[in-house]
Formats: sequence, C-alpha cells, structure tokens
Amino acid sequence: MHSLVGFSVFGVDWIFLRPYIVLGLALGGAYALSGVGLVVLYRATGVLNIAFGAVGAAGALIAYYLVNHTSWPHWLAYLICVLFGGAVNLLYGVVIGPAFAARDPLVKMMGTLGLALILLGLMAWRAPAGGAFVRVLILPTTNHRFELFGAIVNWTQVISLVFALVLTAGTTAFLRFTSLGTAMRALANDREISATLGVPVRRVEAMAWLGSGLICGAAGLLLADLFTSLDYAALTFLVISSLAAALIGRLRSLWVTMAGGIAVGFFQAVFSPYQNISNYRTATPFVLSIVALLYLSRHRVVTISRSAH
Amino acid sequence: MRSTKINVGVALAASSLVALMLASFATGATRSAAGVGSGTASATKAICGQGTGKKATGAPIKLGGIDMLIPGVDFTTVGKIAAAYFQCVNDNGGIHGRPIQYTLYNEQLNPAQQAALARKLVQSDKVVGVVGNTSFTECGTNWRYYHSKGIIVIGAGVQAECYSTPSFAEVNMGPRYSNVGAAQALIAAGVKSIAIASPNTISAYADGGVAALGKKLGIPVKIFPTALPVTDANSTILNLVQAAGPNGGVILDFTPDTAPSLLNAAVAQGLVDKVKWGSSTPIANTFMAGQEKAFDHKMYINSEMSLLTEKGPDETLYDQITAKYAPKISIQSFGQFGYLDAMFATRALLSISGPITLKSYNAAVANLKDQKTDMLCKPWYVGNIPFHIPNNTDITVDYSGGQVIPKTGCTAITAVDSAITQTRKWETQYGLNG
Amino acid sequence: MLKRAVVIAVLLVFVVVVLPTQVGADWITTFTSVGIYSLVALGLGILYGRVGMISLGQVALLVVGTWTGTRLSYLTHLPFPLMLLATGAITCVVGVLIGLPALRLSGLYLALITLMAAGGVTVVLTAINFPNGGGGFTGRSVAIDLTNVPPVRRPSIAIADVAYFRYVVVVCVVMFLLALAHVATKPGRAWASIRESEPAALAAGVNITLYKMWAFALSAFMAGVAGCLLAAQVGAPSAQGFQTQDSLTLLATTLIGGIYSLWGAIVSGIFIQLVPFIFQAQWGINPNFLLIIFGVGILQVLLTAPGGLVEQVPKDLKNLARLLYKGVRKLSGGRQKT
Repeated sequence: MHSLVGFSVFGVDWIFLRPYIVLGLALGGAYALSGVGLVVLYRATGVLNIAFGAVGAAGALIAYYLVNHTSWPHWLAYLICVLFGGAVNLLYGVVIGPAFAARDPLVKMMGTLGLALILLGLMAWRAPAGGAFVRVLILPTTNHRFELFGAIVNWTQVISLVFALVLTAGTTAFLRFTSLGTAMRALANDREISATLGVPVRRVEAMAWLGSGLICGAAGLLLADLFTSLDYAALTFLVISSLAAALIGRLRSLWVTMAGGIAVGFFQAVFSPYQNISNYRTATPFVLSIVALLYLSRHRVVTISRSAH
Repeated sequence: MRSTKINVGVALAASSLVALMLASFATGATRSAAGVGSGTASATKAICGQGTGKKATGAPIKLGGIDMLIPGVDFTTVGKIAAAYFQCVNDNGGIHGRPIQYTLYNEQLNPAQQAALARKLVQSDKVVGVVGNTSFTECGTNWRYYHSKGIIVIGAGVQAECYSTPSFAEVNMGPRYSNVGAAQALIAAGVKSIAIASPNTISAYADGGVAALGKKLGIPVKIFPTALPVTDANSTILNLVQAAGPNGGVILDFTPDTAPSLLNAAVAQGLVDKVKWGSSTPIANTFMAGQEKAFDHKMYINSEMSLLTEKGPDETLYDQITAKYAPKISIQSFGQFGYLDAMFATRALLSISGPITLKSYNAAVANLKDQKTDMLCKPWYVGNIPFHIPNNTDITVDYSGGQVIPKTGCTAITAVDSAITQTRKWETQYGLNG
Repeated sequence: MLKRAVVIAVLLVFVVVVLPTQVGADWITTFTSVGIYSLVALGLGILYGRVGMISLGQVALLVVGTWTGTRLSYLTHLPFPLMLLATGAITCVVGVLIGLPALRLSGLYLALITLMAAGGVTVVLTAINFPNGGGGFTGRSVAIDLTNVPPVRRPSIAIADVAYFRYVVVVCVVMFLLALAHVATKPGRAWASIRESEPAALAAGVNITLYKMWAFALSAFMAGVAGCLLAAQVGAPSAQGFQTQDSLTLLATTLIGGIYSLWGAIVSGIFIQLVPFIFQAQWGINPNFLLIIFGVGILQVLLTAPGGLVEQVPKDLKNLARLLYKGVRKLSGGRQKT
C-alpha cells in the first residue's frame, strides 16, 4: 500500500505516514480539549472533575433529543447542551462543593466520581442504547472539510483545536489578569486564607463552577462529534484517557496539557498502520502519562498544593 | 442573602434542565392490532401457538432467558421480543391451555453473575427451558452448566462456544460465518484483497473464518483487531482502506454502536469509493440505512435473517407482535432473533405429548427439525448432534435510499471450518433441513 | 475481644455449614463472588485506609491475577493451593511495580498514575485476551472447537459449587487473618505512622520505602489470590469481563463499605456482587439504578460518614435504639402519671 514514493527517515516512511500525522493532530485536538477543560476546572475550583465526560455526555444527549424529537432550532439545542453543563456543575458546586471545601484534592475528585456515576446511571436508565439503534450527533461544521497532506480535516476538528487554544490562552490570561481570576487561583490554593483576606468565597466558587460547567457542556458537544457516536458510557469514561493530557501538564500547565493532548493523538494515530502494535495503540494515553509523570517526579516528591490530609 | 436567592434560582433552572434530560427519549407508536396471531396457519399467514384467540388460563409453563445489558450495548431486545411472542401465544390458547411464563434476566458481562443467573433460572425458578439468550460471553461461561443439566438453549450467538458446544442452538450464524459471507460476496464482486476489523476481544474467532477463506482462495487477508470504543475512527478507517489497497475490500464487523463512527469517517476522508465495503449482520437495518446514505449501492452486508421489508408470514406476524406487545422496540434483526427463538421454543412445547418438564422440553428441542420460516434461507433444526450451526446459508443486502435492499440471494457459507463440512454432512444424514 | 471472636466463629460456622443447605446454587455462586471481591476490596482498604495511599489499579491486579491463574492452570499441574500462592506472588511483583511511583507521588497523583497503569494493563490484556489452552506465552488458541479444553481447574476437594464456596470462605478467612496480623503488629504501626505524617515516621526511624512497598505487595498478593479464585470459579474467563472503569466502581463500593475497617471489605464485596444479583434477579430492577445508588453512596460517605457503612450502621442502630428506648420510657412514664 506504499503506493507513494517512499521517503524514509529513521526507517519510517514519512510520506506514507503524512495523513496519519494530520489525523493524529486532529485527534489530539480532542484530547487536548478535554485535558485543558480538566485543568481549567482544576485550577479554578481545586477539583479534578471526573464527571467532566459524564456532564458533557448528558448535555449532548439532551441536545440530541432536542434535535431529533422536537422542532426547536439546532442552535438552541446546542446552547442548551452548554447551559446544561453549566447548570449541573453549578448545582454541584453550590450544593455539594462547599462541603468538600476543606478536604484534600483526592477526596474532592472522588466526590465528582459520585456525580459521574449518578449521571451515567440516569442516562443508561432513561436513554438505553443498543440493538439496531445508535445516536449520532453531528455538528454542522463537521460537514465542511478541506484536504491537508492527503488527509481530510473537518471544521469541528479545527474548532476544537482552536477552542482548546483559546481556552488555554483565555484561561491563562483570565486567571492572571482579572480580579475574579486571581480570586479563583487564591481559592483553589487556600480557601481559608482567601476568605480571611476578603475574597467572597461562595460567589467566586459559584462562578468558577458555572464557567467550568459551560466548558464541560461545550466540550461534550464537540467530543460527542469527534470521538464516537453519542455513546454516553464511552464518553463518560473517555475522561480516563483524557486525564493523560492533564497529567502530562501536571494539572497545572495549560500549555503543556495542550501539547500533551496533541502528542497523545499523534502517537495513537501514527501507530495505527503498523499491524503489530496497532492493537495496543489505545494504551498510548496511559503509557505517555505514566512516562511523563515518572520523568517529572524523578528527583523529588511531587505533592499537590497544600494538601496535608 | 442575595446570593441565596441566586442559588435558589440557579437550582430551579438546573433542576428543570435535569428534568428535561429525564424526559422520555423513547418514542413509539401504539397501534393496536386486534387478533394478532389468531386463526389458522397457512402459506401466507403465521399464527401464535394454536391461534385460538382465547386467553390461556392453566398452570403456567416456566421458561427463562439471560441477555446482556451494559451501558452502551443492550441485547435485551432479543428477550423482550421473545416475551412478546409468548404473550401472543398466551392470548391464543397458550400451550394446550397453559400460559407460558417467561422470565428474562440481564447480565453485565460479569461471569460470576452469568453463572449465578443460569443457576437461578434452572434451580431456583425451575424453568423447563432456556430461550432468548444473547451475550458477548454467556455461552462460554455457562455451556458446561447447561450441558450438565441436559439443556439446549435456543438463542442468538456471538462467540465460538455458541457454535462449538452441544448446549446451544442459535437462530443466527454469528460473526465468524457472517463475516465469511460478506467476504464471499466481496470476492464474487471482484475484490483482490481484504482488510477486516472486529472488536479485539472477539477478533480471533470472528475474523479467523475470513482468513481461512482467503488462504483457500489465495486472496490476501489482513486482520485488524480494534479496541472499543473506537476513539480514532479516522486513522482506523484510513488504515483499513490502505491495507486493502486498490481493488480491495474492507469488512467491518461492528454493532450499530460503533459502525457509524467508522462509516462516517470513511465519508469524511473521501474513502467511500476507494474500496468495496462489507459487513456482518448487525448493521443490516433501516435505521443504519437512513444514517449512511453515502453508502447506497456500495455495501455488501451479510444478513443472517431475511429482509425486514419482505413481508412473508413470519415477518408480518413479527411486525404485528412488536406493534401490539412491544411498541417501544424498533423493528430490527435482534427482534427477528427473539421472534424465532420464541417461535421454535413454542413449537417444541406444542410437540410434547406427556407432562412438560425440563427433560421433555429439551428432548423436544433436540427433536426439532425441518422448521420452515420465511425469516431464514433454509429450514432450521436442532437435532441430536454435538454442536449446532443450523443457520449456514444466508443473503447479502445493501443500502438504497434509506432502505435495506437485497444484493444477492441465498448463498451457502463456504465451508472454511470442518465444523461447517460436518454440519452439512449431518444435515443430509439425518434429514435435518428437508 | 473474646466475645467478638466467639461471635465471628459462630458466624463463620453458619456461613460454611448452615448457609449452603438453606439457599440455592445461584446464591452460593453469588456468595462465592462476594468472598472473592471482598479480598480485592481488602487490599484497597489496607492501602488507603491503613497507609493512606490510594491505588486505582486494584481491579487491574485482579485481572492480572485471573490471567496468571488461568495460564498456570493450563501450563502446570501445580496443586491448587500452590497455584494460588504462585499467582499471588506473580501479581505481587506487578503490584509492586505499579506501586513504585508511590515512593515519590501521593494523593491525587498516585491515584491517577495507578489508574493510568490499570488502563494500560487492561488494554494489553484485552488485546492478548485470556489463555484458553493454547501454547506460547499468551496460551491462546485460535481453534474454534474448545469443547475438549478443560476449564481452569478447581481444588480437587472443592469441585462442586458448594464445596468451592466453602473453600473460598476458608481462603478469605486466612487472608483476613493475614491482614489482621499485619495491622496488629509492627507493619500496622509503621503504616499508621506513615499515614499520620511521613516526616514524623521518618524521624521515628520507620523505613518508609520498605513499608509502603510492603503494603502494595500485600494488597497485590490479595488481588492475585482473588484473581486465581475467580479464574477457577468462572472456568473460562474472558477479557470482556473486565474494564478500566471497574477500578472506579471498586473504589466507590470500598468507600461505601468502609475503608477503615476490615469488615468494610466484606460490605464492599456484597455491594459489587450480591446487591446487583438481588436487585435484578430477585426484584427485577434495572441494574443501572445501582450506578445511581453508588454515586449517591460515595457522596454520602465522603460527606457524612467517612467510616462507611460498617461504622455508620451500628451508630444508626444505636441511635435508633436510644430513640426507641426514650420513646418507650416517655410513653410508659406518661401512663404512670395517669
């Protein structure tokens, strides 16, 4: 199938691989988006939100329902998906979040695992899947494509990459330059001291949850299009592979997370034409994140923020 | 104070959105069809059981089944349609006046749970027979147990054990032979090499038949086991098409949960016309045909059952039963499986003259032969043989304008395994299918 | 202490002798699974509850154990107890490897890296699938007729389901005693001090590296033994039976059961295996409800009852008794007045 003239460097035929590289970068956009989403939430609220995928999937499911079973305009369905993400996260952040405020990040993460399981259970109960039937939510931008080095890229892929970039740049700037952002950083770092210093804790937290929830919703919409069909179980647990990018960025650096996500997509796609390793390529996010973490922790003990307990 | 108010408002808004999510996704017509399955059977009409139109009132006869239900994949359709069929039988005089009481359990691929449920059916619920099972792994877990109890399960199978052990008589042929059927159709259409992808957990079994066929005919076959869920559909499909090469064919062996993302990726990458496309049965339905219009007249889908649109007597009755007893379930091949499972079980029950027990029912099942139905190419049978592959001749279908249309008529699956050769020997030796 | 031992002994005798005569084979199979999964939960409980180290790789270790047990069963003629020990030992090595990062990472990072390791292991095991009597390292045969391949063997004294259930209970008792022996002696004290404060433990001369790895080794050993028991219970395990997210469900049920008590492990096993069985086989409830219940359960445990059900239920019962007692006294007091 090497119909193209081989151009071999390091024993690899790069011309043959070119389309895979492009597709890998596009796939990396999806990983980067969810990774950046996770890190943004983490930096703004101090919570690693395992429910990221579940919230997005639930939003996408609602959008699917509205698109296919009502006459509502599609943009409204997409908007509701995004708002749903915001609403669920806000509800969680306002009702349950404060009770976790003093706990360590691990416990906070396990709390969101509870939310993820509740949402997954609700979806599996109310919207059973299977048999002859599948839900597909294709955004209008997916039908617009262009060719790049023998691979075809659609605008949803471009949008998610740009969205991840904008999120990265925007969040970095927001957290650094606005007073609300500074307050969020302070809160995520130490709630008590921030409160003492006069930060309106509850309100800032609510804003962080709302903002992060909107990102969940938007990401859910994009990921349902990019990754699979609207398979909510897969989308819920794809958060595990998406965590890889966040881990490569050590839950801190948005830019490294972004790069990590793209690297994951790149390697996964580039391995796919090699029959021997093709079957193992879904291990890419796991292997990359473990390697990155081990490398980063080779000299000293890595701890997260101030967690004593 | 102000923030509390905000919170209440937010909570209300959020809960209303949650409520919206809970709004029913299922839609279904509630057509009523009076007298479904009543009357006398003829060449153009199928009936439920004895077709008396009278409710059965005697002591119930217990049957049961186990179907897989995991988030994302729901095989309970098979058991639910079987249950609907039995309801129809009960509304038409039951089994000589006795109603069938059908218990359906679902399992989550946990082998210990599968084992427990089989024991519950047989030892606690005391069913006389097991009907309507479909799962990725249940055959492998329970075949020894069923065998030790002398049970032959009538169901629809996926893995090797469903077709190589004495414990199962499946109405379908499973992914291995369905893939072979697709490969045959592709080769007949002039394909010179084949790339095939199945979920990696079943790949060795499901793709092995095509590899054997390729060896036999001198056609190169490349196998790509694929991890589910597919997260990189674009590179997966590009890889398959490149592996098949010019004049090649790609066979996708996936359920409708996964196939659309791969087919859509093929459309997106402009690969639709680079190869010929084959598939196993699960995507042979109207829903998928409507989704994948770009593949109109380009698919070679092996279909283990007859076309859903061809209205023979059983197909018609299946539609009516679904409309009356299970209106929320769409018409699909998994429904056909359930219909046939229940129909053959009912015929076995009706053939018993003495008391209906586990022993007499399973003996009656083993005696089933030459069971004609318009849903299958050849009559179905069980027989006293060490394994059963009664469905080994089927059709190829295609998509056209949102419909599934026939491509080639009934074709025998090439005997890639000695199991098929042996099966055909038995068929003539014991006169199992006419 | 003595009273407690007597209660436990009576309970055990009931479970081993009386219970199998009272319930059907379906219940016995389910109870066997409860025992097996409580061992996995026990390992997680030791790591998290005793040492304060979280591992989301326990289910992956269970899979490694199941795989190894299956492979050994086809490869060797080892007597079952030796097979159990060998599987435990091999899984132990894998577990220590997965646990190595714990020397440098803690808390959230440790949880995540072990989850990633579990993900990787699951991908590899899914790809090579389980041995089915073939040759080579993977022991996987592509033959389609497997009727002549025997299932993973059970101990010769425990072939039947009931006998095997009793066997599993005995193995569980040994494992729980092993855990108890650790907790009550030097390792337990070392773990407690590590959990309280690593610097303080270091200052007190505790060999942190040794005891952390010891905990990982012990929990992996238990997961391995559980895996081998599972392989023999199931007979022909397959890759579809296990998923990466199972680690998260195990974490949920272990938290709900109670992370600080050895009993919590049993409650966790009940939640993973018995409750789903009762839910859908006895009551006909959609199993997806369980996910919702697990989700609510985690939140409830994390927020109000960190000790899990084993701590909370006795407390609740005590409170209920007190309320009832008060109520009765009030009523009877009221009567006396008139």
